[in-house]
Amino acid sequence: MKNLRLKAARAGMDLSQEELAKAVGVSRQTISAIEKGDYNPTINLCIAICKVLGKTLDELFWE
Amino acid sequence: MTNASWAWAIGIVVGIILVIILLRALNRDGAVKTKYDERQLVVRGKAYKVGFYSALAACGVMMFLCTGNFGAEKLGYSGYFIPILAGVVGQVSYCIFKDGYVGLNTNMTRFILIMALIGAFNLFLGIFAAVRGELIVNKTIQGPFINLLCGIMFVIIFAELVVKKAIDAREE
Repeated sequence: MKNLRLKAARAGMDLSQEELAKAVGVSRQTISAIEKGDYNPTINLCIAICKVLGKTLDELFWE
Repeated sequence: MTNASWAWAIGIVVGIILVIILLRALNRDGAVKTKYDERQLVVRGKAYKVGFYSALAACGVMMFLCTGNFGAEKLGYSGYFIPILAGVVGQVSYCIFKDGYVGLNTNMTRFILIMALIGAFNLFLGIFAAVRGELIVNKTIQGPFINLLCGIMFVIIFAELVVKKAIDAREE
């Protein structure tokens, strides 16, 4: 399932996939795969993304 | 040990040193170790499985060819390399198209360029040997055939990387 909340939160902070990827230490393709729902990230990566985007795990990843 | 064995041993050592130098040149931070993120590590794990089964399938084909009187035994020791290269191509191809091949600290353009250079160098060695008539001696294929095989493998990897780069550029 696509993660539109992550995409919206990233766009809300005016960050590209590449910029978010660099901030959390992963490849751009990994951020793209998470947004498309092709990859289920580990809790550590979820937390790192939430910290950068200033959101909670519930807001971005809880179904 | 025979002279040929020494040549192989020295070749392997020189090869390892070259790989270390190339890795340092390829990685933006000059590190020997390429860094991958968690998704890439998962992809690479699956890719090793693909490579393993590709090598097994190639071994099966080679055994069939050897026992079926197709003349595969004339490949000499380069016949051992065909399953190895099949495994490598399987692993690398899966990695490239699933975004697990190029690391976080790898310079993609430099990487593609070096693949092209290595491929061209190996093809040159293989074709040079063929022109000098050193590729087949006593109806048995000789060592430089491995250069031809490696050259073809690197050309395949180069083409896949170029295609992948084009796909990524369109996605961005």
